[in-house]
Amino acid sequence: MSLIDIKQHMLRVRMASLSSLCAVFNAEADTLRCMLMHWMRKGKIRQCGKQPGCGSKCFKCPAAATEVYEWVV
Amino acid sequence: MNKNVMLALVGNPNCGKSTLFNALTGARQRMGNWPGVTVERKSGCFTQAGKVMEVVDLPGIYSNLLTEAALDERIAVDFILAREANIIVNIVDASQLERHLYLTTQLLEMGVPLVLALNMMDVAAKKNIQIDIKKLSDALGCPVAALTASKGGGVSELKQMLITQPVVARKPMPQHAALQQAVQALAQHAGSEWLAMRLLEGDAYAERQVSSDVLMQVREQQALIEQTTGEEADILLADARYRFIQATLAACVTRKAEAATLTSRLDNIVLNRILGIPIFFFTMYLLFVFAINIGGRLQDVFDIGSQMIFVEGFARVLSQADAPLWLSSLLANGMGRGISTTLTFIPVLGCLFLFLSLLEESGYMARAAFVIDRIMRVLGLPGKAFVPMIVGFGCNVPAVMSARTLESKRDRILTIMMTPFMSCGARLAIFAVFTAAFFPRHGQNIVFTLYLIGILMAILTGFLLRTSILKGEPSPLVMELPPYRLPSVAVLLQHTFQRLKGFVYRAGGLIIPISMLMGLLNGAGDTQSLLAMLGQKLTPIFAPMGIQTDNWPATVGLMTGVLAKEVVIGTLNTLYSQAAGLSQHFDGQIGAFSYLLFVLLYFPCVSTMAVMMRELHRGWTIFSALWMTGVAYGTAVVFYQAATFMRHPVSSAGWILSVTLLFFAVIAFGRWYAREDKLVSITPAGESA
Repeated sequence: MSLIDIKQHMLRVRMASLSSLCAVFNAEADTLRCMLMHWMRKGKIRQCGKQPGCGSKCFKCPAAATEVYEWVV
Repeated sequence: MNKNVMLALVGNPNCGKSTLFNALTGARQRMGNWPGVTVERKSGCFTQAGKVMEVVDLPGIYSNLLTEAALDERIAVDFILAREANIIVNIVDASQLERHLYLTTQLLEMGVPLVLALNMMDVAAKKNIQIDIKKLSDALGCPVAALTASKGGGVSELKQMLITQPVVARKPMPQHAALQQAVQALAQHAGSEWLAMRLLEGDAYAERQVSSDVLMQVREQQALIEQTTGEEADILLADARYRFIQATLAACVTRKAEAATLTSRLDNIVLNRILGIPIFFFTMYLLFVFAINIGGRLQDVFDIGSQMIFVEGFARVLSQADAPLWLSSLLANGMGRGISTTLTFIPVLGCLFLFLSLLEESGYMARAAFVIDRIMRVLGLPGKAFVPMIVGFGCNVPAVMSARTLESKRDRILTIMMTPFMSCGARLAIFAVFTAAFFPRHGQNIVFTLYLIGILMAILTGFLLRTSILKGEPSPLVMELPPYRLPSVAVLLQHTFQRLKGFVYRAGGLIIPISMLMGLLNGAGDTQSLLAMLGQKLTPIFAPMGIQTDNWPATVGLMTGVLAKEVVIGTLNTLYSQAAGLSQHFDGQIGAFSYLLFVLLYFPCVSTMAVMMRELHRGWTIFSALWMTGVAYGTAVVFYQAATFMRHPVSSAGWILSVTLLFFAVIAFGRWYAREDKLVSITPAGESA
């Protein structure tokens, strides 16, 4: 797994949740967050997911499932 | 005091720096101000082999030596870049090496005297992570110490290492050829390869160290690199670090293979072509056995206890205080009953959330999506849609949100249209109360049947849309499965508690005020009250599904249930308390099941509607609400009329025939509309492709 691998994956799927990225790259969420941060600083990836405690009536959403990243075209 | 050597403790936040600082310095630590800034730092000292070592504990750096970082991080970064310390002790969490080693690679590039302290070795051991310290030391080119600083393990060895081992760091990162050439070219002008690399990364600290001429050369080299490689220099540098980390970990770290073997053995059974689907349904059945049987028993205890305190207790206190009747209606019958209703949800939902957490944490839920993918593909539906649908078992709101992960626009719309049919926790709360009243034995079978009907209706909806308005090929499900793991009890309880707390707070926030309003509007049981009149006017609409005219509270419950499904129970509890209990108001088990079918399938709650509105066009949201309510009405009517066919065969046949014809008419209209190609042009909000 490298930054270029993440880029290629994101170019292919365009949108991915953190949990799916963890599964694809067999990596821990915090490691991926750090790597995604590189692309986010460059404005190539943006986070578009809802944060935990979204105000819905249910419960605190599992962060990795609703933390969604999008490749900015 | 004569200080011979200055050590700086550097690392990411929460890697155990302060613990190591205390372990190294003992009671001799002191607090001081960092020159020029008001942020405090810790410094202390210890003596080893006659040498006095000053230890500086720096703020945590979040994985990157960026000079534009936050103030506390910048203090640490500036201190490192100023190269004041004789030795940098880089503390890393041994259980999360991949993330923590990024900072290490940056320190290695600097060529500072470095010692790597692998902390939390005990946590790594618990995670079955084995690290070859010697190999790691060779790969990084610096001494490596294994520590469990919280227990003092390895601290004396580290102290010894700081004295005896030569502390030499190397610059090991193999770089892209274009980058190497640029670094070498710039190093001649910048003074060092490290500074050249920082300049290529666009680092503000480095840019302050060189002249404008050098900066112009940097810009030229950056442009050249991008032209040659298609990537910017900073990305290539970071990428090289991550590749180096991957290669180092592959050579030095092993994870015990038992887990993987167990995973593949379990997957042979769980993902088996024949057994997979029965195992999935059996697991879901177990969920309801657990929630309804265990949770249901506790529900009675909660119900009796909370009624005694919040309803009867309130009523007694108010009557002793000679409170007016309206106040008693408002507080005892309204608020008290609202609190009592909310509390009775705790056992059943606690069991549901506990079981769901267990399935999610263990890794089974990801398998469930794989198993269902086969059925979905046969119907031409995207298998990935089942992932949000599974999330919908807890709550539909995050489920609709997680549909964002689907690649194609059609699949996203389709998934969002299917998801609200999944029976959420709020609906389970209603089912639990009804099964306790009408189906005291085998209640779990009724609830399981309702869940299955929800899934079937979701799939039917998806299929109809796929074959009419949303034609197109589904995307294949590509997803790696995480290994199975035995979740810790603490984690499960924590997840369950968080979900339960959130649910109870939000449900209580709606149920209590609505119950108070109901209590007040309904006065002291006057059947001519405003609420009774409204309910009685609308109830005939629901007569074909078995709701009698005198059961107007059931209609009011459906209306308030639009706010949140669990409010149905709060409303019924408040309104029925004026007369008799739940079981006397419905047409036995048939009437109750018909009502539950409607509750399962009708109108998504307002929270789900709001999130659907945000994710899709308003048209799709209105379509979903109308379609769901239509399906709910049709299903409940057909069930009730079929189940009571012998009582009134002619009218039952008429109803069943009418509903069936209407259903096919709607499908025909959908196909006709699809030919006009109007609905597909609706673009979801935020859609850019």
